[in-house]
Amino acid sequence: MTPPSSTIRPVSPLATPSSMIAALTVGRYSEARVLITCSVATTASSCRYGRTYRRSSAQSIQLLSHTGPCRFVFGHRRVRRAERPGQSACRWLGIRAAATVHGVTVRTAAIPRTRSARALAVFAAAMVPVFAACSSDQPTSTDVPQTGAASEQAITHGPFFPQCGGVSDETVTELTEVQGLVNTAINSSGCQWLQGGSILGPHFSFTWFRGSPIGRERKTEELSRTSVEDINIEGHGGFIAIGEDPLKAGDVNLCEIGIQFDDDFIEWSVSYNQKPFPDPCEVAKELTRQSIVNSK
Amino acid sequence: MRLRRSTVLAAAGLALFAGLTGCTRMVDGTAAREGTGGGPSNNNSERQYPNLLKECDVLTEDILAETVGADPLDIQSTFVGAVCRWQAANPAGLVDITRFWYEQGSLDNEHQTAEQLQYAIETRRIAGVDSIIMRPNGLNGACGVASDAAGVVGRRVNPQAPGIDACSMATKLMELTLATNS
Repeated sequence: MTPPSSTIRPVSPLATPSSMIAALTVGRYSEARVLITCSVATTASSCRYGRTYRRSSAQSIQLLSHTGPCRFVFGHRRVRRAERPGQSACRWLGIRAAATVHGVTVRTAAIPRTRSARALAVFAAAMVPVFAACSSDQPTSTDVPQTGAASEQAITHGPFFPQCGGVSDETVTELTEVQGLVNTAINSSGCQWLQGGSILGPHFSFTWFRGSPIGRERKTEELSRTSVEDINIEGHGGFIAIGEDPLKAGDVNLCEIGIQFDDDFIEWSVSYNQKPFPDPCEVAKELTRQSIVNSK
Repeated sequence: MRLRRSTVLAAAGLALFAGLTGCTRMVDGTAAREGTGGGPSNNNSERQYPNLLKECDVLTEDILAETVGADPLDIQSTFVGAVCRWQAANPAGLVDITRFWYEQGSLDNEHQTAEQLQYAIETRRIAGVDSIIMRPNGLNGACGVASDAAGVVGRRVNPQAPGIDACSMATKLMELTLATNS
């Protein structure tokens, strides 16, 4: 899927109010981390292509994480790292294992009150077993599920799709009504058309997934798009996902169609960044239809 | 001097709260039973190739950019999922990078597909793993690599200008992808 787009809104690190929040997060999946600074403008930062998603693991595909390093675009072709959208603009001090969490000497010289000191001592003493109780074990080989590998015999591949789904650059140009498209990533996973070959314009792509569950892709869409519905094209079922322009609610500028063929699926992604443009879903439907017809 | 009972209670309460919450961590997503994730998968691969299951971020964008000769800041993701795409700016021209992971796929099927697409195919072992190098005709020396791991996983490099050694870049990316704990 195309990473959802969103607005560009820089966040100044100088505006970051810091707070000291100790968050001990250790255990099976994580390392201990101590939050040292945190911005309240947690969702303001973004970038041209917005957040990206990934599936966390093969057996828990519903888990999505915001993983895409989000960048600002400064001038032509220069992209810079920024905070990740959808996450707090926070800085974390990473601590790999709870065993490395050291005691902290808190200086309270300005308040030499015995009661406070004793209360602190009680608190510290009480916290020692709490901290110590946290497991610092890293995942070991025995933690990995042993539910067996996929059997190749059980996999049925769909038909053969010619290069780019059998759709020519001319046809993509005609249907998308975008001039100057360059096919930048022709390979056996698919093709990608970008205006002038650059990421800064509209985005169109054909992708052929051979031995990859369509359900995971659909779930990703369901968690990130405006709507996802069933669709059937040329007798083959799948999903159609639409996305709205983040700057103008209601303006659908993205449409992605995935169609299943046994354990394979194909996906056409149509994404515009500037009006005027035709109905992206009509474009995606026709591109998909042609690919299906061209399959062998 | 005895501590006030309220102080002790407060400390105990805080300790209990910390005990209940200190070892937990919020994880994004929806709870799902094991095996309900949309199909079978090669769970063993997680142990053998720990980097494989992290999909698009298995290699950081800095590494991707540097491997294709681009400034680490000059790279942008354009597509995510079981197939991931990026575009990076090599001084000689823009370079599109593709990563794919077909967990139920196979190297044989990729070989067969590349044959049907009439790509030049070379068999090779990369990081000790059976692999194929795929070269489409023309396309500024575009080159792809597929390896027999966790189903089938691969990297492709598509330069937009000639003079960029796409095969060595794709191979290097694959070596990094297949990096094991051993």
